[in-house]
Amino acid sequence: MTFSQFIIQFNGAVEMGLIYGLVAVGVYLSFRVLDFPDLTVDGSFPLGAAVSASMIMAGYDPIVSTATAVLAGSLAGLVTAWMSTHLRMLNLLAGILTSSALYSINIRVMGHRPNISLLGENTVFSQYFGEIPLWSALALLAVICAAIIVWFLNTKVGLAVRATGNNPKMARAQGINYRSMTLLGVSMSNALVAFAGAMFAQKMGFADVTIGVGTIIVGLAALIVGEALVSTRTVFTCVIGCILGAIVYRVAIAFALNASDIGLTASDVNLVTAILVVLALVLPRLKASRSTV
Amino acid sequence: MDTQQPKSQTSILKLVIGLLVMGFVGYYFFSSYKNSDDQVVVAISQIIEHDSLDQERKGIVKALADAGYVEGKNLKLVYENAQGSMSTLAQVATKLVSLRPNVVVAISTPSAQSLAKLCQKYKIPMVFTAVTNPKAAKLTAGDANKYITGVSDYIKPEKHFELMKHIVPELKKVGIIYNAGEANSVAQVVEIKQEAKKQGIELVIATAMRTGDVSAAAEKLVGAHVDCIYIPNDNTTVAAMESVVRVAIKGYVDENNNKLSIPVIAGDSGSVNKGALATVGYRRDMLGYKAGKQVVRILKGESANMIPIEEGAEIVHMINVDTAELMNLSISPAIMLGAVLVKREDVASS
Repeated sequence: MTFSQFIIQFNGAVEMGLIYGLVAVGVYLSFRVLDFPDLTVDGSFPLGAAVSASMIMAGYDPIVSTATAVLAGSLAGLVTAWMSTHLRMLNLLAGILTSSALYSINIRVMGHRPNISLLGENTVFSQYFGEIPLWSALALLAVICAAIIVWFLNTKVGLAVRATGNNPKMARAQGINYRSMTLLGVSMSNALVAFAGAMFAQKMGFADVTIGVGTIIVGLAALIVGEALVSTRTVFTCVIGCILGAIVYRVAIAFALNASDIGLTASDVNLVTAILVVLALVLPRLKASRSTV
Repeated sequence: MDTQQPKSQTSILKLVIGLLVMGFVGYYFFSSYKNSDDQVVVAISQIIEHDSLDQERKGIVKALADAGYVEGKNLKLVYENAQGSMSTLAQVATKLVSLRPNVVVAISTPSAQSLAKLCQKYKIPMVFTAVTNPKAAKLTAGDANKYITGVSDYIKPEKHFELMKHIVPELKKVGIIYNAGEANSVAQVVEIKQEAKKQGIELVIATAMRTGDVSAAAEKLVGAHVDCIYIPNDNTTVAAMESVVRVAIKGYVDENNNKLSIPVIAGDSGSVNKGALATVGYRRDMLGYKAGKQVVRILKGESANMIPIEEGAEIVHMINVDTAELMNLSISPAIMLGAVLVKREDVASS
């Protein structure tokens, strides 16, 4: 690998990592803060892409399109949370139902097409970031999102959301409406994921119904890698960990894609990625256990 | 959310980052990944392992070999497969482009779209294949992508009418079912109407808003005594293909008390697996071969934007023999020859 190859690939990995870092923060909100295993993510990620892409194609400003995508994502989360809190459905099932329904909805949103191309269209990046490198634009957006989440979780309402996830009975005893807190938290989580989807579509130049497949797995992996890397003691470090974890995960994929140089074939990508992620998780622990001996 | 973590958090973080940096630096020094001057580099991005896409790739490699480009000798072939993940696909694109290949080949629409911007940026010519509608996917040589050409697998309704005429020689009346809410289908139906008019064939149209309406639409066509039912690539109708086939097999009883089944011709191979009688498509390896020839032209010095996007290749028929038997049809040897035959046992039970 020459230096320029390394730079291009590393750049690509960081860009993807920043986008999926937002997914990981969303997953952190639902799985960790609220203790609500939410599988809506597989549907809200392509929903964000679909809504923003169709609106850009219809001539709307990229920012308006992205904002609408975020709104659509939060509505998707609201539906899942509502099914869970008001219809008393198991939250896993509610998420599965919403995400599978979103597959059809996404095709509808995209005007009965499975794919919308944004190549040559205006995007948030082309219109508002112009000559700034893509990774720094994405980094800026990720930092803004992370800051909003950290700020929110430290407000009074945010603390109520955290209390709901920690101990719902205790939260209720303190006069917290756990239903509205769940609704709020899950919809925020999906709004973030939809934002990531909108960024993905605008960075890649297309939206496709299948881009959501496996989003939850990628998000969870990034979250867990992040938790292994940094302290989970404060919200701030958790959120940073999510983004860092996503970048590490993407770098692992970049490595795996180059594994063909050492005799592995293209179909080994997922296996090599899995092994690298396991290593990333185990290595710190090895160090830790040795230091306690 | 608060789990016990060892105190040496920051040192672990440093360790991991250090390992990553070391890994990359080591990798950089120890791998001799350089494009040698006597080798051309062709990089292939494929979205997923799938028989028809693999066949396309084989066709490309064959075209290169036929033109004298042998892998390992004067050709370096880099092939990456995203295993169906769109996010991996994005990184496949950056990896392939970073190698600065002479040509990149994209197999499937998303593969081509993920490469389009990067190819434009680094001025690398691209050849796509397994793309149905390059124009809608914005993969035509416009201002957005100057270095692009490829092969489209779009098939004109004309070919389907030819097949119908083979199966029903005195074809006069064709019924179609589609969802008027699907933009894609509406566009297809416009072309089907033109073709039917050209051939002097009467068209009976039945629309289905939902999959639940498809069966009733099929019955309407049977009631109109059409000679053949033609299902375009309409998501709604294709999803309920079994119910169309069931109604078509039942058919109707004519004035001479003969039971007549109605052949169902589909626009895609998946429908034939689900019980439709037949379809016609392109040979995937031949489509790939055509794309491979375009790659060769670029390697020989032609500019990608000067090579027109090609469409189609040799056709191949696909026939569901179980359905043919249930419909009591004998298919002419001209079509059976070289056709792909599929079976579907559960149609029989219904």
